[in-house]
Amino acid sequence: MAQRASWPRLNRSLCALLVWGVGLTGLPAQQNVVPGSVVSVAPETCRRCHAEYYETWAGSTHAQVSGRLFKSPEKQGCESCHGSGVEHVQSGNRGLIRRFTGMPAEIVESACLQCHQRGKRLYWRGSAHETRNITCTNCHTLHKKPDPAQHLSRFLEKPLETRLLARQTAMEVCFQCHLLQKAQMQRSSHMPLREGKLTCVDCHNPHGTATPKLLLENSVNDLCYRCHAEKRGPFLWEHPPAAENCLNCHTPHGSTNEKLLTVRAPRLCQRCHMRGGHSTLPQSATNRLIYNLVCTNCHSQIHGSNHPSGARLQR
Amino acid sequence: MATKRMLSAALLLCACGPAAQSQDGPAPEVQRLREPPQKTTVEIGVRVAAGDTGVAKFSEYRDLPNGIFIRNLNFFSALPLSGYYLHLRTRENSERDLQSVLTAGAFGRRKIVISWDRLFHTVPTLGRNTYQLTAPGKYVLPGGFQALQGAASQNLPLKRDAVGFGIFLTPRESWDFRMQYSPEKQAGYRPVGNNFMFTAVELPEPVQYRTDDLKLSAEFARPRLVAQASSQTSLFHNDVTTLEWTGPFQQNDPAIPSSGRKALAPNNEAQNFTFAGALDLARAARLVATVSPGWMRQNAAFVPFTSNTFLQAQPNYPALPAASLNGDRQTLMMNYLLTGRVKKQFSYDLRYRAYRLDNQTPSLLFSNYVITDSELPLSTPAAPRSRRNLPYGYTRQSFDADWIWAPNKTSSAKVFYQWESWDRTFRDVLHSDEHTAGASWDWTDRGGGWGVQALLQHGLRRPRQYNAGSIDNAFPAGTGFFTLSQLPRLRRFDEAERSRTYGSVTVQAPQIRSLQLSSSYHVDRSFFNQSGYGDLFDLSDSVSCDLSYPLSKRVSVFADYTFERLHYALRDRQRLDAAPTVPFNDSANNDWESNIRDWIHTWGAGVNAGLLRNRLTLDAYYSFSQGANTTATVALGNPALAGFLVSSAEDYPRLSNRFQRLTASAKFALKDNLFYRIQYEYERYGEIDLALDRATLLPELTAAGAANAGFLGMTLPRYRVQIWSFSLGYSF
Repeated sequence: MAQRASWPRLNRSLCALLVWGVGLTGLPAQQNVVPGSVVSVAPETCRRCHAEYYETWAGSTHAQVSGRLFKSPEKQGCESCHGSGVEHVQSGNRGLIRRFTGMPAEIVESACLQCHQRGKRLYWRGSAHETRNITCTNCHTLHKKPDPAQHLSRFLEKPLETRLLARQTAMEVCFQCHLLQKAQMQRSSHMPLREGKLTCVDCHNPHGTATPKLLLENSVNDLCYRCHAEKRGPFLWEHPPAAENCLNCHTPHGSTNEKLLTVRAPRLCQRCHMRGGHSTLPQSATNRLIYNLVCTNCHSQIHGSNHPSGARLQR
Repeated sequence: MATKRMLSAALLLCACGPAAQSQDGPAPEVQRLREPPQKTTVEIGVRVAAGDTGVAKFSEYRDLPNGIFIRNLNFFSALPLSGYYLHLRTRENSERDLQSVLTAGAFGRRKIVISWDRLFHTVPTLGRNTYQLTAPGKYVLPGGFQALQGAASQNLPLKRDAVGFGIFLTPRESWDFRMQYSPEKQAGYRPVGNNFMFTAVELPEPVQYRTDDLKLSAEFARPRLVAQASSQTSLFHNDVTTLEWTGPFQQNDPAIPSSGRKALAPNNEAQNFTFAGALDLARAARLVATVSPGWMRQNAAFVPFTSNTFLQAQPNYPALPAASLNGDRQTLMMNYLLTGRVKKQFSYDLRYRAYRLDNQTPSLLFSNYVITDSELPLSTPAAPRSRRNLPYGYTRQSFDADWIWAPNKTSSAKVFYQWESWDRTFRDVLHSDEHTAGASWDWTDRGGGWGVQALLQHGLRRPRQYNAGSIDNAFPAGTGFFTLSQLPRLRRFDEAERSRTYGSVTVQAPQIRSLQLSSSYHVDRSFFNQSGYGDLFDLSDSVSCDLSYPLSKRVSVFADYTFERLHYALRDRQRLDAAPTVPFNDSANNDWESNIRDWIHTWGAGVNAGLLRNRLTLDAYYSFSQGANTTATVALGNPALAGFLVSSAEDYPRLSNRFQRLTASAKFALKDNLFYRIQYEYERYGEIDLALDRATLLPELTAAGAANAGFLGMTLPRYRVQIWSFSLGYSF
């Protein structure tokens, strides 16, 4: 009975490593000054030639934060992203200013991460997107309005704060590459994404997380419990695959099976339950045991039961 | 405009405290240039929906009443030179289905966010019964079961009301503090199956949930260092913790008890702390570490074994081993990531992850376990009824190593290796390892938008040992003479030996003679080669394509198509438990195999046009999703041999569902800031499903002593709805 998962020594070592990392907070901060920006160019100077870009910047949160929150010169105005404009202004040479079109991913993101390497971007480096050559400008744009012709999905989207997206909605940004997930949203059994009640970033952080699949919580189940707290337990009688991973039975992006099931019942349950009796019969199409809620007609507490007589998850 | 600014100022004063403090930043004349535009857009209209709007499937996640509605309200205002702003967004707003977010604060410094989100979730089942709710969670059936057949149908609605309240403070560039509190209430009904052994009765389960979530976090960030700490608390409360009902079949079979009782979701709580830090090291290396301990607890009082008062009065009625469970699951998540660059072209990622669920819930022994409401446990050796709950737990660890080569500014190649191990308690496999290796190649032309992303990986999962009899831990006195043990060669799919190959290719071609193309192909194949029974394989592949083509400068058309195919196979054995007069029948001649296949096609096409110098915007999109399912089952044994049982191995009728949706709108700008919109929507859904098709014939009554069932009367979800709307929008 005394079965307990052994906790490896490696974890203790890694804890110590974390303490060491935190202890390094006393290190002097690197002076992150862009070379050549000793004399900076005010955005209003840029406006003389780039009025359209200036207008889009001036209406953004970037302009409002500039000078109010960030005091350092390299985080002011246009130069905060485009680097020093002194030589560019003097010579008019386009090559002397940082232009994001055609730049390597690491250069693009280094410009953004000057200010944004915190909060939800803590895990950007090493994330699934970053290691696949995706960079900030694949999803975000500051100066361009999203093209209505690229409004691909026609799904409603819940009101979100403006995040300078390259498409009209956050879901469309994701669907640029995740075409299969876009199609799965159209299926009969679905989460309320196309009704605008949920969106991709309610479950995933595209900038990276500590968990696989860019999930916002520590595990798949922890994420599902955010909305389905009644299934959290702990229960007296657990259903181990359900307590371990909701994705053992459910597929979250859409299914043609009821309740987002990966496989239709009763076959879903029969993959594991072969102890004997009615669960081992193939069951004919006219059998009462495959009507309506199928196995959960009786075993309705499939996520766990707290009833002393509920070992079979019936009550 | 003056009134609007006064209103904004008043709200901001309430939201942000004293506002008239001196502001840092650029000179006032420069700040004026940088003022965000004061913008408000409001669109109000009238909507009429016709057709099968009462069908639950149509209103599964929405409420679309006829009449006046607010399609969109976006109010933004900022106090000049102050940096304070107010932003209100609300969409598709009506009485029962709304979504609003109010944000107020000072740019980059502080903000308050208040949100209200109401979600209707109508379960696609019709309630058709004469049960009366006499107390929370207590149903009586005054008319008897016969009355069910003539009862009227009604939908079972479930409503979620979520309110969010958040404060975000950035007192200095280096510091961030957040507090988010969000209570959510769920109220309504959903169908739930209940039974007395093999007699099933479906009832509307009352749902009265409240969940309170509180999240506090603090962050300190410097150019080379980020440190975060957060706390997350979640409290779940259920007002209705039991469901009791009158037994509907008592008049047919006196052996069936007169009432039943079910324990509903117990109150529970969860707490999580997360500490994370990132540190930039030498040679472009960066270390990120996260440690997140937490727990989930539940200690609701147990209900008695049975609600049958006759059994409760018997002298051998057993006592419960504890008054409550005192359930306690401790969790710990850790993540350590080291990234770095060796040379200009090479970088690496090393990651260790662990998630531990240590189940500290007591393992209680129910020495006289009461299974049914109709009898007390027998104390014969032939049928011992001792049962023990098992506190399942696990530890999942993984180590990832990525090696990335970026030869030029447009492409990168990655090779990677992952080791993942599971340590479980009380499961068939106590330890398993999985090794996965793969490679990806990504090419992106950032100037033109071209891109190719390809990935191929292969993994092998090996359990150290498989013990199909682990479930016997739950039966400390044995499972009884008449009960079979688990099939020895069963391998459960989530623990079994597995060989998995996954591949994907995505191509994005932005301009082939103005045609924009994006397509992808995925393949995922898992084989359970050592599984004698259970899942044999699990295959899926899909192909997707998106096209967009500008017919002219102002008119563009687009289309998309996805085809996904899934195929599962499982092998099982029909086995009969023994009875006093019937011997065991556990023979390979009673094996059967089932193949489950799904095909899903999804089409979409649309047009977007800006005409009359962009004063008229036409927008239309049509999508069609069609899914089909077949389940083919064959008996693998020889019917001529004695003891052959598999008489119900047959192919199920083909199931299908179709969902079509057309949205067309015309938006005409009367002036620069005034427009009207006419919108037409058409939705059609149809489904063929044997599980539901037969259920419409129920409730059924059979002769006394036979199995009975009573369902709520689900109907096949089919609907056809048209929605017209006219709205007027104004921007100022």
